[in-house]
Amino acid sequence: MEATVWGFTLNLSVLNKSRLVKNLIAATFIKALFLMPLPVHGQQEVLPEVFLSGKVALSDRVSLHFTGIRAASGASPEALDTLSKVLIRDLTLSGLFDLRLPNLPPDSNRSLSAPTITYLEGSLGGGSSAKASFHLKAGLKAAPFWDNVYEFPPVKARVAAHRIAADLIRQITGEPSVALTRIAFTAKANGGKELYTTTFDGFDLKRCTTLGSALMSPSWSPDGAQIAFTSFKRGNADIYVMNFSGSAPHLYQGSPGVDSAPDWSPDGSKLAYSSSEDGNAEIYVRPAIGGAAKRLTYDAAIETAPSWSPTGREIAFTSDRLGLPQVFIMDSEGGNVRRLTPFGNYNDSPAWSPRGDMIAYVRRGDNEGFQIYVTDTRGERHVRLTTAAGDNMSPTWSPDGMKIAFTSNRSGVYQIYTMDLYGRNVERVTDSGMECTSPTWSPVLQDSAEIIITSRK
Amino acid sequence: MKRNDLLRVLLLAGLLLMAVLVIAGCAKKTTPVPPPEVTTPVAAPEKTDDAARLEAERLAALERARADSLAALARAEQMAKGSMQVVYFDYDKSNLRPDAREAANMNAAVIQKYSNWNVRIEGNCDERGTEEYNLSLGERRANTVRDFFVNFGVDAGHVTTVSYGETRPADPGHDESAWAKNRRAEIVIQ
Repeated sequence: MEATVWGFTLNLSVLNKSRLVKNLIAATFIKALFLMPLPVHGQQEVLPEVFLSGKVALSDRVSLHFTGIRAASGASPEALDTLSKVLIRDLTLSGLFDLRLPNLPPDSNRSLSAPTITYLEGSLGGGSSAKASFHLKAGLKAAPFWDNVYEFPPVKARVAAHRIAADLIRQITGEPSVALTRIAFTAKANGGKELYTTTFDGFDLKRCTTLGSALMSPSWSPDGAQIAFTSFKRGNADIYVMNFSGSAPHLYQGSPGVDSAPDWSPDGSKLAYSSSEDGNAEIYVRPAIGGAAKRLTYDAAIETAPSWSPTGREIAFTSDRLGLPQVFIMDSEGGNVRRLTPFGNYNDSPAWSPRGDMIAYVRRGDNEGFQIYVTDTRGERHVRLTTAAGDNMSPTWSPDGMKIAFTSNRSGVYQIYTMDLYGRNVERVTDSGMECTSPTWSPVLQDSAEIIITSRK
Repeated sequence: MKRNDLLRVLLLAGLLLMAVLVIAGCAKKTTPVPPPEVTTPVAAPEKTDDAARLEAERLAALERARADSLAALARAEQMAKGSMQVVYFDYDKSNLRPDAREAANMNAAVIQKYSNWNVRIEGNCDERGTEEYNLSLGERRANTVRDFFVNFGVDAGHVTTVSYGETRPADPGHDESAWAKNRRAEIVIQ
């Protein structure tokens, strides 16, 4: 499947297609370029419309009427509360829905203009094991076209709600969901920095390392099982890989010089990184299980911060070969280098969108600190997404390509935030006295071992 | 006869002591010389009790002088180690500005005198900038100083570099005066 965005084709076949999208939004005509009127700063550029699977524009938000969760007698009030709150928040944060919440009568005006309202109904049973059933219907009186039962310990209501939201979103839009994702980041602790993770909405904070030294640039593997990062454990910058499940990190690349900025290839088989093992910071690619490295750049300048394209055919990176750091793109074999950022004196930290059509990066302004921008893969349009004073850095995309997590010191101390790809709906993820930096967004994690799911439809 | 011998021995011991002190004094200012060896005195006095006692005293004095001069050398080396000057850099730059060149020059001149030293150059950056780029910028700053030392004549085999990027600020502040102190290469003698 291909969609025309910014005058070139974008292959969307990597994304999950759903026939239901077409069924549900059959009335929606395929839009050409729909430019949203966004307030922009600096250049008068706006982001073009983003298309979901099925050529549905992101602006065509699905009308979803959540009629609430009916609780049976004996149902845990806490589980009911958590289930409802988390579900509504996940559906809101997805940005995909025109959401109508429980206890509100159907909007007759809306049903005229949007004849394709989807209804979501839930119920929660009692007992030591909570049993929640949810179904989707195309009309209030219609038979459900999706009907799932989730059985889980009541204390796991939060995890269950994320799972339900993820299933719903995939069912309705065909999109992967951030509801089952985590964000890893570094935070200052014990004089060094350690690796932490939290759910994408800021719950369940976990510390992953106790290395007691500087740690930076974490990168989550595409299968979700491993995290690579730079650490000073041995006194200088080396690259380590650890299992998310908590095994001790093992040394992946440890030359006497600087080894840093690892990034997993989309298939998880290789890592790109920066190393000065040949005397100067260059980009290398090496199998994830070790072995011979392939050097991609040959330049006396600094080359660092590689970021793979989702096809694995190209790598964006930072180089100061023209005097100051700028973002470039090259083929993953090292050839065909072209400059991506023509403006500004300091552009760095490229992050290639999982959808493939955009690259986020940071630019340092003269008096406005670092701000996050996105551009197309030709570097023709550059749109500023952040406006807050201070520094906004280290962009990382959500696996559905709809959100960007970043770190900002807008509150005085660096904290992790998320925003949608238009720079709106900014949410603060961490609420910590610690300085939280360098976020990396996990892929969709199937962390629901204690939830039994049965499909009745 | 005995009196003459005694005088001669004392004179000799005094001369030797002075020679040792002069050598030690010179060693402080010039290239390090191997620790002065204690040589057996040339004079071979008659084996009398007095002579033996004097001989022992003379040797003890020599030993004291040797220890003193070694201590002086060690103090001088310690002072030399402590004399290493921090090399500062401009914003986003890794070239040596004039004051940095002077500092690097003073360091190199001292380092060159101690061929036994292992020198570690630590490159650092201010907090403005991305962590990844600053890591490499710190390395480039350290390499600039290393290249200066090697060109000066310091043995490259005794010089290593490390970059701490922006992780080890000398001044934790967030203004230009702090940043200026943090953009630096520190010389550590191991």
